[in-house]
Amino acid sequence: MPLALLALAALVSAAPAATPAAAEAGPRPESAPAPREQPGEGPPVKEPPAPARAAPPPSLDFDLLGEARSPGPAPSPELQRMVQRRRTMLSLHQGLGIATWAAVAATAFVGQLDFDDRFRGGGDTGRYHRWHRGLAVGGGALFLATGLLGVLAPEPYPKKLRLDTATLHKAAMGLAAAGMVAQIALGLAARGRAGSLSERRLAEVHQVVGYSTLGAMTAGGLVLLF
Amino acid sequence: MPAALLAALLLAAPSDGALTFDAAAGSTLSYRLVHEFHTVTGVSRAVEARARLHPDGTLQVMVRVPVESFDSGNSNRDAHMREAVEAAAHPFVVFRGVAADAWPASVPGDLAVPLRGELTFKGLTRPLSPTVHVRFETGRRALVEGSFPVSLEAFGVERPSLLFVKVEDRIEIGLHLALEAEP
Repeated sequence: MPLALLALAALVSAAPAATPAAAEAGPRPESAPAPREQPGEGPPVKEPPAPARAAPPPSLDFDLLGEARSPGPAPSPELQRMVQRRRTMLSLHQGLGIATWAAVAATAFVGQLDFDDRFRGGGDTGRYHRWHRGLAVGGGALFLATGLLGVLAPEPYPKKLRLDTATLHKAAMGLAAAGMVAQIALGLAARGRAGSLSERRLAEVHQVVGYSTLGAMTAGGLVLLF
Repeated sequence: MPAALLAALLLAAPSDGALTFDAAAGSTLSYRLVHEFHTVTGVSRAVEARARLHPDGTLQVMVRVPVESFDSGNSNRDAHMREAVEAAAHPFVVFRGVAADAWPASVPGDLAVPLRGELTFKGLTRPLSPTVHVRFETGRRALVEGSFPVSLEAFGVERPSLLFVKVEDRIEIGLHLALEAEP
């Protein structure tokens, strides 16, 4: 009932301002555009009907939405520790990841020199073999350390499982991990059959898997840039 | 006739004569972040917003968005963002603003509304005065569009990095609100 009375009062007080002429004569500043009625839908929003009716607070000290419940995990010292540990581990993961890629690329390059030296008329001097083996051991150790840092980093905030660049990175690195394991086995097997006919065959497979592993690592790194 | 329509509006309004608009489906708040290697856009569709338009033309606006609702298309990146802004301790981004003379000259009609306000982000409140573009489709429905820059460091956010290259300090906030008057 009071609302209806208010509306009636507003109707009476607003009526003079409803025409453009009356609106011009009202309290609207001269710079303000005169209200006009548009054809079609919608109620015309007009001059403030009664300036004295409402006095909105001039300050920003208001709350139109009320209390809200936090949708995520509650803050705690343990959560903070997990965040810091994750940041540290993933920063190391990035740094070691770049070093690992460089080590594996160098291993592939020196491995190619070693292959050419042994099987493609290089004289079989063996001068690249120790370098290749050393780089392979170093690259493998870096790969393992980098992978563990990524896999074991705590997850303080839950993540949705979805197909995104992070998932592609993990898939590519999983493929590279399989390649690394195969490389070690193939390299040892080829060397174990030194002098036999199958040595070259195994070395060729080792070579193909090696380049594939490097390719998977490169793709896994590049995908993060998108 | 216009007076009758205005009266109808007022009938729907509370006793102080203010019209209250709430965010409807389709409202979004986004951030655009630039890194040396790529540009990232995160969008939240969990926007809470309410605007009160007072009879004297004064507008009060409040927008609140859960930090964890932003989706950049990469779950790792979103988790990193939550870490960087300490989402557990400061779960919401909140904007409060006021403006004068926010009644449209006509409906449908467009209006540029300079807001004076403050943004609360990662527990810090900083003044922010964006100008938003409001399109009153009807007297009871309005679309609000706006974008404005925000400095991450001004809010104490340690800029995330990828491959040891930090993102730019300035991010662009994009606001798209579909507002409907309360019944």
